[in-house]
Amino acid sequence: MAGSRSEAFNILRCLYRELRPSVNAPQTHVYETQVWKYIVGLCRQCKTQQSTQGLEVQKNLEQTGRSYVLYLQGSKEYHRISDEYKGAGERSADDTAKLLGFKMPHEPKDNKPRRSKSQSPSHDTLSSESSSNSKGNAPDISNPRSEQISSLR
Amino acid sequence: MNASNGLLRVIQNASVNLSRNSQSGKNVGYVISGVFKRHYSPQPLKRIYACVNVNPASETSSSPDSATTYEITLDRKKLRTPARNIFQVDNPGVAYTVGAEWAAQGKTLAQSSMHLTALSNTSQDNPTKKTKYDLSTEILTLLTSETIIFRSPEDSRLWEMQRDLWDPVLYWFQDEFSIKIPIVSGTILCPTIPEDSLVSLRNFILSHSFEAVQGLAFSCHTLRSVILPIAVAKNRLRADEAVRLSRLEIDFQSSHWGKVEWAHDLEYYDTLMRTSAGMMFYDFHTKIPYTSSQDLSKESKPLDTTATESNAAAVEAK
Repeated sequence: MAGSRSEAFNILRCLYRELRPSVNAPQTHVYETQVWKYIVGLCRQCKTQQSTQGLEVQKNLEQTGRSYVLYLQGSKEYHRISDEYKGAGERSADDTAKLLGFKMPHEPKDNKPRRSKSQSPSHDTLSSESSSNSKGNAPDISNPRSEQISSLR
Repeated sequence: MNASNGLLRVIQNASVNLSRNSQSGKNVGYVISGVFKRHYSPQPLKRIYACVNVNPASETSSSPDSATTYEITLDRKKLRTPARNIFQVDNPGVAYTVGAEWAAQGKTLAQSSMHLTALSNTSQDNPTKKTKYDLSTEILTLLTSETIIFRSPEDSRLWEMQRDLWDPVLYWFQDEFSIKIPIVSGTILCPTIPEDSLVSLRNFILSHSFEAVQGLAFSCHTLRSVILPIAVAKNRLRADEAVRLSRLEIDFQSSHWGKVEWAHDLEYYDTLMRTSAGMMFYDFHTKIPYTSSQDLSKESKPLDTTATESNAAAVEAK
């Protein structure tokens, strides 16, 4: 009898320890929660029964209490391990695009001058040379209205 | 042509339902089963309630002997099942533990690990329209693939461990229900157990309510065993002992080859959660007496989700 009472107190103590983290509000104790009041009510009801049927009820209560403690402990450990080893998840579309050097559709494009196929490389070379020698070594024949050509006429 | 027209109508109806938006409005998917629609979100649901209360529902029956029905309110809103019925249970133990489950949630809801709520929802909605006779047939079919009758002759140490730990439970079960179950080794084929020998076990299962058989069946499927959950139901084993016995070979191999915490331990605690929830559900509907004389009408104080660790330490210091 004394052994079963200590077992019952042990289960109650474990239940208190497991239910305590679920009570987050200030000025609220586990003793004020509905589930604790229900558990204590069951224990008091069992205590009043002294017959052999009462002993069987006490055994059943202890078994259920133990199952509840194991459920709460298992849940706590499961979430602890799950949070510890949880992966970062998949890369977002933005991160994948940056990794590959692409831009997303909503990002502004770079306004670089696009080189068309019709432009010949000689004309480009000539225009670049004429722009570099604009101070007067060779006339700018690409622009027929330039002052240099009009002076030649 | 008629079959394709019928299929087209189903797809059109489904597309109409898919166009509805949920309350969250984002990332909502619909799974249309043959019985009812469930919508789920791949994003974890945030906790939007502060206070959880368990209240007796308003009694419609005038007779004083009618059982009290309990409902759960989340901030004055009644909790509903996946089939959109109001969550109602007759058993106060189930009601208060389910309420504690919802109160224990953090900033996001871990719905996949709320097994007591899931068992209550399944019992109330019964989406697969099963009766306790269907569940008992499932359990008896599971007996032929019982974990503790399949032995491993390859390793002598494992064989001895299985003999020392599994045989006592097996012999107890055979004596309790007058069933002769053969031990199987060296083959994966399930043994044949005559139907006549299962009468006592079938009567034991059917003597309980639908909810109790639901809890028992859940534990049987979790442990891949019928003998171990019934041993827990008969107070012969604890839930964690039953889980250890069902995982005997896994523990033996991992003790030799090494253990991976994020696989082995995670699976152990998941199995422990499911088994203990199933057996608790069974106990509440069989062994635990209803208590209607307690005055639990006082509402619990609102739970502040933004409480700091200092508040928890203050409670601990008390």
